[in-house]
Amino acid sequence: MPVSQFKYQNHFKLTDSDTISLAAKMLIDNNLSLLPVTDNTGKYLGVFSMNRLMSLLLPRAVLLEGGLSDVGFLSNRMEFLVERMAEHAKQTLAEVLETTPVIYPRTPLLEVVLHLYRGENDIPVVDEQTGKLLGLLLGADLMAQVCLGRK
Amino acid sequence: MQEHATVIHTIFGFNPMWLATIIFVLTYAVIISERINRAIVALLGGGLMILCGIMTQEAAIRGIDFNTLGLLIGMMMIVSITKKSGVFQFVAIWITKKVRAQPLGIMLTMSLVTAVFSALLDNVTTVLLITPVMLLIAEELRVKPYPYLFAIIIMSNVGGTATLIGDPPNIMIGSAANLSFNDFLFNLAPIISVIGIFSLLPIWWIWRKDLVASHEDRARVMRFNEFEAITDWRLLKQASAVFALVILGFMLHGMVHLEPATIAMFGAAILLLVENFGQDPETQSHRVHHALIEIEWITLFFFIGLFIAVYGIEEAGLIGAMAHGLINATHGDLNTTAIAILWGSAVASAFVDNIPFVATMIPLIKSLAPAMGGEQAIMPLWWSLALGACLGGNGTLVGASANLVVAGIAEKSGNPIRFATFLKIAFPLMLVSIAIANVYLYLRYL
Repeated sequence: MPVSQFKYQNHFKLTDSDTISLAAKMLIDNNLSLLPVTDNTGKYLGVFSMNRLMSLLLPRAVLLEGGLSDVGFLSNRMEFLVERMAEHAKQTLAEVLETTPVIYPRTPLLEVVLHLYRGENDIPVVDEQTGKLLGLLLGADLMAQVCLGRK
Repeated sequence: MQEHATVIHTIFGFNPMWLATIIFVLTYAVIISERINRAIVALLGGGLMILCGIMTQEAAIRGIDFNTLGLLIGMMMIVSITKKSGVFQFVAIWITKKVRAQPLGIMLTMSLVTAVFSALLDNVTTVLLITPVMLLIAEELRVKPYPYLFAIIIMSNVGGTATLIGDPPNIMIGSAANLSFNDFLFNLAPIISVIGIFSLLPIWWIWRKDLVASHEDRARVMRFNEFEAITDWRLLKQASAVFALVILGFMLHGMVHLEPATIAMFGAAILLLVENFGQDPETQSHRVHHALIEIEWITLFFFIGLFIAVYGIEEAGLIGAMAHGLINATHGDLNTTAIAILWGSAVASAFVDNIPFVATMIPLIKSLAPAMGGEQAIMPLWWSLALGACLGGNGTLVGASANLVVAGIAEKSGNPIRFATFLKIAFPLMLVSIAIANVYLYLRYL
């Protein structure tokens, strides 16, 4: 069975001019691991993930390969985290886009399961010919249908 | 081995000296091009010296300086275990708070810490430990990290020059010339302190207007809890004790008739023992594996290949010919030779890796001894080589491994260091440091 026959979500999407604060609200309210991002014409550009959102809270020196492995000595007060996130709130998604595996309508569901097994929670579905975003396949939706028979 | 070279008059139609020269120059050229990993190139160069019959395998093994390798391995193991305790981050944060997170104070103290760590550890390890903490502090203070990273690069090379164990060229020189830890300390550390100050003054002057942070940002850094950086107090105590004993051992090695490699390796073994004492076999295997995997094997095999390749040209008579040429050029005058080595090493080390350069210069300087009054008389030449080769690394961004490591981390953090930008200030600064070293050599030894 290919992805095209599975009912994926098509209302979770943002454009690259949207702000991080809007993306954060959408991620949190809908309990998503990532959001697909398009340009104004609907062409898929990349994703903004919960992981990337969290990385904005961390100093760059920690995120570097071979950087600091411990941040226990930094201030860990909630105000500190809130203040740090507020500094990024108005940034646009164009500045923080990431790449992630995508799937196409013809992709077999077993391959989707393999992506999910490898750590993706939600995967963008993209039209192979036009590069337009078609929607977002939620891992939870797929497993709900497989395990509980929910459609 | 001159004997061996004279027995075989030609190899593949070449005079052995010319063949060895061709292999050596090619090896050097490919190392400089950085197109192939330097360990592979050095091993191939060394291997070709044997395969082409320039020397035997036995001779090649004699050419490898196991004292240098042992000292490097021992120190790498001690550092790899010690750094797990978080002590280096602790010192960096502690000293930052001691100067109330003032940007200028941080510049001075971080430079001092970098220089001292570089004198006691190798430069690359030092900058790997210091640079991320410095980037973090600069980010929290919202100041440009470039001046700090620049100071770290300069001071790591300056500090590393001060001791036997501070920089690989010194380890090689110490081992080849039988110079002790104290010899380096008494002969190089005083002038290195002066050079350190003269290097920091222009850095401060150039960037003084950028070394400003708001009260709020400084308060954020002052809230760092340095004690939280220590992740293993037990290990910290064990490692500090072993490290202190190893340094003491280096200072006394002449009296106890032990080579530095023995002290470093034994220190590493003791630290492994205390770290693993009472642990189950699986944990022991894991920890020992971790300590061994952290050893920079690429550097060590690079050394092995290089030692063989250099021994090859020595055996083939090239070093002797070069020494003859140098004596002719300087008319056998010690002063001229010392100054030529100092400036020549500095300029060469600014552009090419100082390790192969020093590996080549060591037999060359050794062979000058008979014509210049013996081993004791050529002592200033060793200091010229050490000062030139180590300080020369400050001249360009590619002059020393530590420079490239800082540049790599800076690039990844979004603060790239450009070759030309670095060169504009670093090269004149390096020339000033060599000029100071020149005056020192002249007044003290020549």
